[in-house]
Amino acid sequence: MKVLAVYNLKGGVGKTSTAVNLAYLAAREGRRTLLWDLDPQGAATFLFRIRPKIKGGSRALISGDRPLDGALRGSDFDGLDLLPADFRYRYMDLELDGTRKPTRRLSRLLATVADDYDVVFLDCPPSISLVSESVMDASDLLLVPLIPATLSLRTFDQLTGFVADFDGRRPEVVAFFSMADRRKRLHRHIIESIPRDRGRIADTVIPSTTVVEQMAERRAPVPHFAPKSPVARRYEALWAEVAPAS
Amino acid sequence: MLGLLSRLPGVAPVAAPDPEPAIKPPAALIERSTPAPQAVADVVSGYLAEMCANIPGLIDDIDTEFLHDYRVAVRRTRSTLKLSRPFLDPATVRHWEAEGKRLGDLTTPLRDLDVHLLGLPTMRGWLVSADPADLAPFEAHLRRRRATAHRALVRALGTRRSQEFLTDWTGELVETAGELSRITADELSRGCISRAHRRVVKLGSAIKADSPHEGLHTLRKRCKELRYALEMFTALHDPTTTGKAIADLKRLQDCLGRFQDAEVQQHAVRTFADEMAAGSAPASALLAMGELVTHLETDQAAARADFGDAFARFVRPSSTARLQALGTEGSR
Repeated sequence: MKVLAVYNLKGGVGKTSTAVNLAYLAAREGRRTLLWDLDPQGAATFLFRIRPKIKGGSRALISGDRPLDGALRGSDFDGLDLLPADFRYRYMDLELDGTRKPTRRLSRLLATVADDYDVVFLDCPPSISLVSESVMDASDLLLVPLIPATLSLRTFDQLTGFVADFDGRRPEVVAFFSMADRRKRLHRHIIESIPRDRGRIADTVIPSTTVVEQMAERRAPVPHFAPKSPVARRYEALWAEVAPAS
Repeated sequence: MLGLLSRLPGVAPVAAPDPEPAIKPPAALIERSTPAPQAVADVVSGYLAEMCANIPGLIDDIDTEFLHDYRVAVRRTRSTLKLSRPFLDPATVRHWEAEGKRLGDLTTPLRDLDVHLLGLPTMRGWLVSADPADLAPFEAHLRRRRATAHRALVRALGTRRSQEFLTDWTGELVETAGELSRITADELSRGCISRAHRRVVKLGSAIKADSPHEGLHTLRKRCKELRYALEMFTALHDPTTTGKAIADLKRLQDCLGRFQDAEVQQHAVRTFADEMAAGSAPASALLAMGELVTHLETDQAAARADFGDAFARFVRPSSTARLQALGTEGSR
C-alpha cells in the first residue's frame, strides 16, 4: 500500500481537485484506492455525494474506539472508497496531542487497512500542525500543488525545509503547477524559470479551467464527466508521472 | 425491500426488515396474453427481491450460499434483460444491463475465494506426495484475501449507485416500451428460448478439439442464458417438456462447468502461489499447490474429452424437437 498526500500550506490551490481526480484515475486502472478526506471542509466528501459525518468524530477514530474500517464508505466508482471528512477534524490536532507518539498515529491507523488498498490519497487541510506531521510520517509521496506565483514558491521552500527537518519517516516531495493560466505572463515566466533544485517538479502543468470548477456541480471527477477534455488528459499525465509502481 | 437495504452501511433504516421476502418471481400472475414488457418487469422484480433478501446474510457473512443466491439472481436479471432486448426500449435496457453487469462483477472476487475455500477439503484429498497439512498456509492466504474481498463488497453494495439497482426500477421497462407493449409474454418467451437455443447450437457446433478454451467459456454462458429463458416463464409452457429440456441442457452445462471451473482454479492457484511466494511462504505449501494444478489439468482434460458426447446428446433429434416446441416453431 502506497500513501500519497496532497498537501500545501496554502488553501485554494487545487488540492481537493487533484486528490479526487488522481484517486479516480488510480481506481480506474484497477488499483484498490482509498481517499481520506482530512480537510474539515469536506470538499472531497461533498464531491462524492457522501454525508460528511463519522460517528464519534475524529476522537473515536484516533482513540481506536471505532475501527477505521467501519468509517469507510464505497463511492459510486468501482474500486474507489472514501473515508469521509468530519467537521470535528478541526479538533484533530488536540486529540493527536493527547495520544502517545502523536505523529505516528495516522500511519498506524492506515496500517489497519493495508490489506484492503493499493493506494491511499490523503486530502490534507492547509496548515503546518501535528496533523501535517502525522501526514508526513504516514506518506510515501507528498504531492504539492503550486499556483505559479512568487509567494507560492516561497511556501514550497518552507515546506521542503519542513520536510527536511522532519524527525521521522520523510516522504518524497513532488510539486506541480496547478491552476496555471498560460495567458498570464507571470505564470508563464514562473513555470519556465523555476529553479529545479528546489525539489522535484513534475513536468505536467494543470491549467486553470472551468471544467475543473464544474466538478462541484457535476459532483464527479473530471476524467469521468469530461474524459476527452484537455485537462482530463493533463491529470492522466500527472498520474503517469507520480503513480507508484504497481 | 427497502427495509433490507437499510442493512447496508451508510443507509438510514427505512423500515423493519421483511421476514418473508418474496423470493419467487410471480410467475403465476403472468399469462400468455400479458404484454411482454410487463412480463419482463414482473420477472425481474422477483429477481430484485431475491437479491435484496440475500443481502443481510451476505453482509453478516452467515453462509456463502447468500452470495451465491444473490449472484444467481443478478445473472438471471441480466440474462432476462439481454434476451428481452428486442421487446424493450433499447436505451433503458442498455442502462440496466450495464448496471447489472457491474453489480455482478463486484461479487466475483469474493465468490471465487468462496469456491476455493469450499473446495479445500476435496483438494486435500487429491494430494499424493504432499501432506494435507502442507496446504495450511494456502488456506490462511485464502482467508485473508476473503476477509478483504468481503469488506470491499459490503462497501460497494452500500453505494448510492448499487442501491439504485436494488430499488424496484422495473416500472421503467413498461413505461418506455411504447408500441412494443403489443407483443405478448408468450411471443416473448418463445422468442427468447428460440434465440438462446440457436446461439447454443451455433457456438457448440463450431467447437473443435483444438478450439481455445474461451469458446467453451462463451458456450457455457450461452447455456446459462438458455436455462434462464426456459425457467423465466415456466407457467406458460408444458411442465413435462420444459423439465426434459432443462435436463438435456443440464448435462451439457455440467460438462462445461467442470471444464471452466478447472480452468479458473488452475489460473487462480498459480496467482495465489505467486502472491504467497512474494510473502515468503514455505516451499512445502507451494509444492502442494503444484500438485493441485496438475490434478486440475487432468480434470479439465477429462471434461474436454467428454464435451463431444455431451454436445452430441444435446443436439440429438428428440432434444432439438423439444426445444423447438417450446420456441417459436412450436407456436406455428
